[in-house]
Amino acid sequence: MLDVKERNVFKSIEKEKVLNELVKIFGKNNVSDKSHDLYPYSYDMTESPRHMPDFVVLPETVSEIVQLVKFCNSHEIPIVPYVSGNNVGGLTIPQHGGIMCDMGKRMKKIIKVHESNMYAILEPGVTFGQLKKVLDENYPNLKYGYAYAPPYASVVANVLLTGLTNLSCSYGGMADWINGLEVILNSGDIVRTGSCFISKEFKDDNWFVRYPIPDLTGLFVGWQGMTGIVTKCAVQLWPKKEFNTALLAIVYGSETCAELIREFGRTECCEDVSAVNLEVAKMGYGITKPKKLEKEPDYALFVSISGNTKELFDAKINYVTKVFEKIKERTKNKKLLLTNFITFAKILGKEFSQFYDLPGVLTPLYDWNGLTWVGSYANPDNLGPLMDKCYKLFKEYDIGPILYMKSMKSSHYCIFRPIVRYQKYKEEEKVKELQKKFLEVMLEYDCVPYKAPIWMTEKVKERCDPNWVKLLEKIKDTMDPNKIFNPGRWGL
Amino acid sequence: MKIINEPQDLIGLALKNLLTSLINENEFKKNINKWKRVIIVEIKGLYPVTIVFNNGEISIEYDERPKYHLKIIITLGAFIGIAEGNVGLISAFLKGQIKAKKIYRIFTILKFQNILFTALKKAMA
Ligand SMILES: Cc1cc2nc3c(=O)[nH]c(=O)nc-3n(C[C@H](O)[C@H](O)[C@H](O)COP(=O)(O)OP(=O)(O)OC[C@H]3O[C@@H](n4cnc5c(N)ncnc54)[C@H](O)[C@@H]3O)c2cc1C
Repeated sequence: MLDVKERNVFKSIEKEKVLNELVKIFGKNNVSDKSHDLYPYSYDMTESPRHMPDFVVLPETVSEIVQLVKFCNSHEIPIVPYVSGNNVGGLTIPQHGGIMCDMGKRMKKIIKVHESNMYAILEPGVTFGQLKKVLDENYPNLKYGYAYAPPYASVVANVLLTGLTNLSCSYGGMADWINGLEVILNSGDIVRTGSCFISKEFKDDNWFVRYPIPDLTGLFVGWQGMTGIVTKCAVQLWPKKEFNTALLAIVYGSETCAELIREFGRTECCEDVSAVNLEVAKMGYGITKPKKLEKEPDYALFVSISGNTKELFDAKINYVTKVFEKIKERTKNKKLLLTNFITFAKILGKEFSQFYDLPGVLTPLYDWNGLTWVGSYANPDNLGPLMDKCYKLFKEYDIGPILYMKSMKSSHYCIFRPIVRYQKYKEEEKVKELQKKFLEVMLEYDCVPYKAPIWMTEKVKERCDPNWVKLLEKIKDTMDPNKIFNPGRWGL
Repeated sequence: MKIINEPQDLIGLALKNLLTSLINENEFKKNINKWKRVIIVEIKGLYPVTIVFNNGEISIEYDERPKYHLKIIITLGAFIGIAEGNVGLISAFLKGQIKAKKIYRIFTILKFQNILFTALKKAMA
């Protein structure tokens, strides 16, 4: 087996010839080997090690990518699938050089919105902002879930990374909403997964379900672009409801906050249940290192609720309020407050509406030139101690704390994510150390890292089931024996 | 006419945001230009904040000063209700959603209420 760490990208073909071939496939305006074009792909906002690619190509069609993959496979040249590089994990930094396959510029078609079956077939470059606009303008009865990710980030890339959105309390992670994929394999074969497999030809009206066939979609989900290049993805859409609101719970105490997240999730009345520590709200005012004062609450918890009729809508609000009151009574926590988030946000200031009007650019996350996190799916029972321990670590390292928690799929699981804003280059060493400490705590509580950078996957592999790792390696070997697809991720 | 300090607590920041929106309004200027008052606002269940009006200069401080002209304790529900236009001041007083200490300073109450209501209305617009 080839050791990717020592690979020479151009061992069987000269770089010059690669350029000629790429120009032949994509046209000279859509290929570059110029360092000023390549540089932006060599880093991201995180502390991940930088590395330059050798080329960038801007595909427009599936057949161009097929030709690219066949060529790269025969010469063992790495390809890194890329859309906007906003994954916050260094996942598109070409650790072994090679070719950036940037689908964010010319593969941006919404191929179909199937209104009655409630799905959309997307090319990889379709962004959250683009999808929202098309749905709002043309399909007012349908909606999609939106992340706190920037509006110019890719829907499909986030789906493949099992991202989370403002509908995740109802419907779970974004990968659960895939009906089918079209993928280019290492051989250049195009394969379709999900119900669309039933016809030999590509049909845009047969992508209504993912199961009950063997779930080959899973071969491409969570793999960080290591098993093939997805060229189409059918995502489920959801009925848009007439009545919508958001509530805000103001909470003292992490265990109480954790309980509210869990219990609100379990009501099955909320589309989103997310919480942050209080300092995050102050960051919204541009305070760089906010301190929580003694009498201030600890957490703000956001809950969004919708309903098709006023009665249903009111009943949901009533039930959530009842659950809140019960917890307040049981914990004898008189300081718990529940109110209307939308009004409260207006009182706080204009900037705060961005938290419910997604997708948007959440300014506190962009105040610094460095942004990183240890993202995880967490056991809901462990949220309280996770919050306490990671908050302490923030203080120890004198970094403005951001803890982000979310109930997923009615609290079957949760998101736990300590987020670090920092000064790139200047604070990188400190941040690396802090990230390691976060991971230690999170692994102690059996969190499952998501969108994990390489250093994190190495730590996970040290402690996880060795047969799981063996199977992972076997699948990678089978699907990509020449290790051309985003090599280095998960140490593969 | 200006707010002379940067509050460090969230309610203080919100109050600063509300009052800043009035800073160029003539009526507000007229109201506070020659006004010297220390007013405590406490959202019940949270914590008190002190607003000092000092002849056109305003400061907003975390916690409460021992000496004040007026202290208002308001439930979060009433505060939000007033902003939404669903709750009136008198009914909130009658229902105990707003309590005032040193209530005999009726003009102080009326003036402050006017400032707060106008600012909340503006925020909701
Ligand atoms: C401020 C901020 C807030 C965020 N908040 C959230 C949030 O609330 N929820 C959330 O889920 N995410 C969040 N994110 C993460 C992020 O936005 C997503 O991971 C992002 O949407 C992925 O899209 P991208 O364009 O950045 O993909 P890229 O970073 O370009 O790619 C991501 C991964 O997918 C692979 N890939 C890309 N295209 C393909 C393809 N066609 N085939 C196979 N593999 C492919 C890449 O190789 C890479 O491994 C946030 C990011 C930022 C910067």
